[in-house]
Amino acid sequence: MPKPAKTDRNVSAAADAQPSPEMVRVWDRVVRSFHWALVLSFVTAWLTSHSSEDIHHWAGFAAAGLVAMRLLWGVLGTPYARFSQFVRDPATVLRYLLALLSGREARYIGHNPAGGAMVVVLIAAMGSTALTGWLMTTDAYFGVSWVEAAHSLAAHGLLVLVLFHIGGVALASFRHRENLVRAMITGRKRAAEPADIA
Amino acid sequence: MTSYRRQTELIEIHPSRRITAPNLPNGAFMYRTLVLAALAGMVAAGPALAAGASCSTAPKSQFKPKATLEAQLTGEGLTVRQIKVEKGCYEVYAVDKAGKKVNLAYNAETLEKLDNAEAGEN
Repeated sequence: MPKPAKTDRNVSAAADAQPSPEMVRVWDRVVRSFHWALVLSFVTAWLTSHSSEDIHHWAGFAAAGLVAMRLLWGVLGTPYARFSQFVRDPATVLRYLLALLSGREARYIGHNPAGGAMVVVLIAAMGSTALTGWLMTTDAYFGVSWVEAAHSLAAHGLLVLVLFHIGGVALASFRHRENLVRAMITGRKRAAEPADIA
Repeated sequence: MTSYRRQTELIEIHPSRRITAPNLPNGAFMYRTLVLAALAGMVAAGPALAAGASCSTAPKSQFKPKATLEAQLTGEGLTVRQIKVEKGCYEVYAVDKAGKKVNLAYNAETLEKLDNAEAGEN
């Protein structure tokens, strides 16, 4: 929002000053704490993948638990936390991506279609990584090459997804002039303007 | 070497010097010194003592073949699933006769077993 010109200072605030944008609550406490706890367990798991096995296992179990919690919350949670609100069909996602390329995409208060798709794929990748990792600790699959390869593939795929996710958040923040990282901390975003999709 | 005079005698000889050590009888003074020396020795030797055997520092050409280790372990009743090379050690992924997983590390040059199976990774 542009600052009012110096000469406006003496005039009444109501007449000339820009009102601060109305903020709405979007991400509830469960969504926010889940998100950052998952970031922490992912980074921890990545950093200990070839060193501290105990911490690596702990991080993996934590990630699996968090994903399970999010799956439940996606059904029972607040409106913007529900999968039914933001998971859209492939055609919608494609249309959104094309609009993104030409800079004409709409601003979404909840997850945009691409973001929604990213959530699904991230959960799948996170789950696969945790599952194959756990299998490696069982008597049946300990030291079995294909399980190790699957775990490595899932983990590296997850890293690529995380990088795209960060890129997407940065792009949307820039395009719609808002700090989406801060929104995931405070839970609040600028209220919908006429063209935005609430 | 410190004179094993009693603390009270030392105070009389050097009255200006502040005695900061506890007021101990002769035997306790000697005992304390021995304990300290032993602890110092243990701290210095600690790492070597804890590891037991360690991984080889020789080049790969000096390593014994994996097949030799595998045959040895199979003979002991283990089902060897994988043997990986990790910094001078062979890391073994196997299951025993009961089907329980077994993780072992061996010096790749001497095939001496290590106490710590994760030795090669850290």
